[in-house]
Amino acid sequence: MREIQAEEILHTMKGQVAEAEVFETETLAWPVSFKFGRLELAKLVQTRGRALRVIREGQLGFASSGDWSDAEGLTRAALESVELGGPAPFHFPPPRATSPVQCFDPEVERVEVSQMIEKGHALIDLLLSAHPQLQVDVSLQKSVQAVHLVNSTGLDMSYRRTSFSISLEVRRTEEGDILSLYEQSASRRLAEVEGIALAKRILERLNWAKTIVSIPSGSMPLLCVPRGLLLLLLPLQSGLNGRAVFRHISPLEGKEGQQVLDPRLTLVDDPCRDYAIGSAPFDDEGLPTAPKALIERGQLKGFLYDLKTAGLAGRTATGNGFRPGYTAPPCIDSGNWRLAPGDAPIADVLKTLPAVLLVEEVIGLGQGNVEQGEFSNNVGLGFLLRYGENTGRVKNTMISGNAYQLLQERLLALDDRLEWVYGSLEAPAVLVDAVSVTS
Amino acid sequence: MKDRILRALEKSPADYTEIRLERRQWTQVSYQNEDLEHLESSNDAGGMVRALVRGGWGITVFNQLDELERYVEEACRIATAVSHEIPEPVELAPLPSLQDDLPASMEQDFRAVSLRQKQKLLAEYNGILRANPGRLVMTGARYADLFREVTFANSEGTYLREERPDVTVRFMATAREGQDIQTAFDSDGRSAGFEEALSREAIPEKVARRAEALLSAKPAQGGVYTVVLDPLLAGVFIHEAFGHLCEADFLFKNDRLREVLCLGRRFGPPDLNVIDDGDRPGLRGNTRYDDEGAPRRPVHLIRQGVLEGFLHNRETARRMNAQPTGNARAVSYRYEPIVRMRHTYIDQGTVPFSEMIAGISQGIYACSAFGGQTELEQFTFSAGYAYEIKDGKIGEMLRDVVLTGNIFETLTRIDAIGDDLQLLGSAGGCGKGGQSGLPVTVGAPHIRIRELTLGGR
Repeated sequence: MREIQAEEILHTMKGQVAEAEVFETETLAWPVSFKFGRLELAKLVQTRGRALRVIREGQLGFASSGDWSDAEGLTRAALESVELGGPAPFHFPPPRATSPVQCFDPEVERVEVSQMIEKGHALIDLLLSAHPQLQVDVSLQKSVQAVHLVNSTGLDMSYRRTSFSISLEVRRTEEGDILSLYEQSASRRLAEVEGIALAKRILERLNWAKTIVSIPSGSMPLLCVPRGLLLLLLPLQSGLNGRAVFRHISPLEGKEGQQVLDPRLTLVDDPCRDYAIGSAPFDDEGLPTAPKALIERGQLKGFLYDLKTAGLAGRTATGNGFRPGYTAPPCIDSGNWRLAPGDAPIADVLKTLPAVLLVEEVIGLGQGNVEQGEFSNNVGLGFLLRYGENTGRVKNTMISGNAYQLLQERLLALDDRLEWVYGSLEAPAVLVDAVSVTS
Repeated sequence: MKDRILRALEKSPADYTEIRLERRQWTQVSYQNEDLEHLESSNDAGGMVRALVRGGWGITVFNQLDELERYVEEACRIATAVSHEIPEPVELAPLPSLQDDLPASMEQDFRAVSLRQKQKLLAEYNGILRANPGRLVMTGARYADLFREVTFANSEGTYLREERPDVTVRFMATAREGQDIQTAFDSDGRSAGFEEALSREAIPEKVARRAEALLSAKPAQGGVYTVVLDPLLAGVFIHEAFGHLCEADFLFKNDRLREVLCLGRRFGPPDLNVIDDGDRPGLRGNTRYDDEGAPRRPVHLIRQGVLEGFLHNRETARRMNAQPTGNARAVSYRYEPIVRMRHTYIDQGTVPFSEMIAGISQGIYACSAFGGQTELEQFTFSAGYAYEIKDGKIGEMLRDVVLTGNIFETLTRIDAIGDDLQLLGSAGGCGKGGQSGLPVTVGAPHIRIRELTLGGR
């Protein structure tokens, strides 16, 4: 029924526009959440919607609707939009073979809400039995989504994707001090989301945070564990985005083939990793996805593009046109990122350093001049290491620096061990030198 | 539709049931550089059912409106399952049963304005933004309007329909000199009609000028300073760093935080008043009723330096022996109402701006918020731009100003509150619990804070 409807819309548009595309999603999600150690809500979300893009005389039109009975309203809105529309320097792609990547796990579809509630209780019991004073928030979510894309070149593709996630947020409140810890795990496969491991990490960090140490202002090495690595990777996410390059706000513009980072750094965008959250067999414009080296041994290899930006910039789309939902048009987004490991344990280097600031979390990530690589953030969760040993938690401390400069000139070491975080990033811990610390 | 809603409510076996339906209609126009980037006219409709069975909530969200009764049944089924698992049943503070119908108040209904007219207006503003390109490498201009029609009905006999218009304009400019890239932005918004978007030429002009000026500005030196915040930054600061702590859904099960945030305790100087008000027609976030059907009520969070109240929904009000304040808000039908702010501001003081900076030998005048984040008591804010204050005078422009500290300590260090209160809507919105982009208004007069830490190199 749904397929016929999307095709009907294409059929209606024939003759009125040169090209048309319908993108549809149908979602069933079950979020369960516990607040302060108690079950707060369980919810069933059942929604569907579609977006219509059309091209006429080189101009692009867009409209979306959640009302599937009103195809006429949707086509009318798209036609109004194309009349005034911005440039469409591209064509909707013809059908092509998709990437063989696993995105659907029947176990996720099968998991019952009662089982999710049980899992949540078990995590809370584990945390509270060790620290009865903690406030523990737990969220679990399963979702099953059908994606369907058709266009006027004959492309007609669909797939189903599942996801399962658990997040834990733990707070310890004492007079004058509130400590907050967060852990999250997400995957398209149920078995890969291990809540107990998250809870154990939280207990370990609580133990580390028992004492608060003061840290002198000045410059010192910074150890970003994988979950704190966005501090350094966010500027790269922006700088490697083809849109930023086309708009001349990427410091990496024009530097393809050049050494832009330390030769030990290799970064790959991989939307084809089985069951990873950033994976898909084709992007939301119908292009097959593929792994791409962005930085290879410090050399800049390329940027990410969607169809429109690639057309504007005279480049080739990389299959990175993703939509945040059916109500928004595609834009450039990365799949899963993989940062290659070093060749020796980082502990060997830490052992030789008298003072290292380990950062797990910063406050205000993404503020300030991210494009340029600048950061200046309060440390949300950080520890002072002396000769590789944790001496205690650091608070009321600000770190600042430039991510590009740190990753190019001041890389001390990469751990030889990789960790998966956020369901879409695989990376080692990264140690850089001479970060400015104000306390 | 009303009959169907009432019939579905009547059939519900739950102790309490509510149905909230929403129709959303929006347009967006945006330019990037000289190109029309995006132009859209869309609509969406959907709803949420919440059912309370023996103290447990069950919720369904849907965007096909023809099966209301099934969604009520499903919500009751979930609520029953949840009710077996909760140690402390949810109870709701009483509310009167209300009937009301509130059409939007707009001078010029933006739904009747053609997309072409909106595009033309924005093209004019974009022309102003790009009039003197200089070192500008990227500019952005956006117009957005959203018309929400929210129908709320519950099993206690309340039936409300409220129209909530929202209009915003937003401009940004990025300037570049070699590897140095600087960005400025500004925006405005109101719960109003198309008239709100008219005569906004000053904003793009200001934004372009500021981006260019930031290239020549000095980076701020890290350290501890006396800092004067402009009304926008002070408003964002009080919203983010203090307002969120006063949201009772966060507080009510948290004994330790409640000990810190204890009503009657002094948190700031005697002339410090912090208010969350929902009753200012035309301001972003203004509604007569919240999304649980509670009438809005202004709340003094701090009166004369002393903590006086919190923001409540029906559940927290019941647990903390307070009255619902009309702060239960949801960004759309997809989300349940949670405790949110509306118009949060520091009230008018008495110190003129000139007097405020007169006594400062070396300080910072920090303006506009680039962003802010808090982790409970800790906050971090980036100013959009700033100036040195030297010997009581505004000096050179500064950039990379990031303020950080502990909210409780910082409030006690406010030592001057200006006489120039401004209430400011912006194109952004507030985020909490996965619900982002909620329209709010912030405000304050200029305020002065002693010994505030500035990050920097």
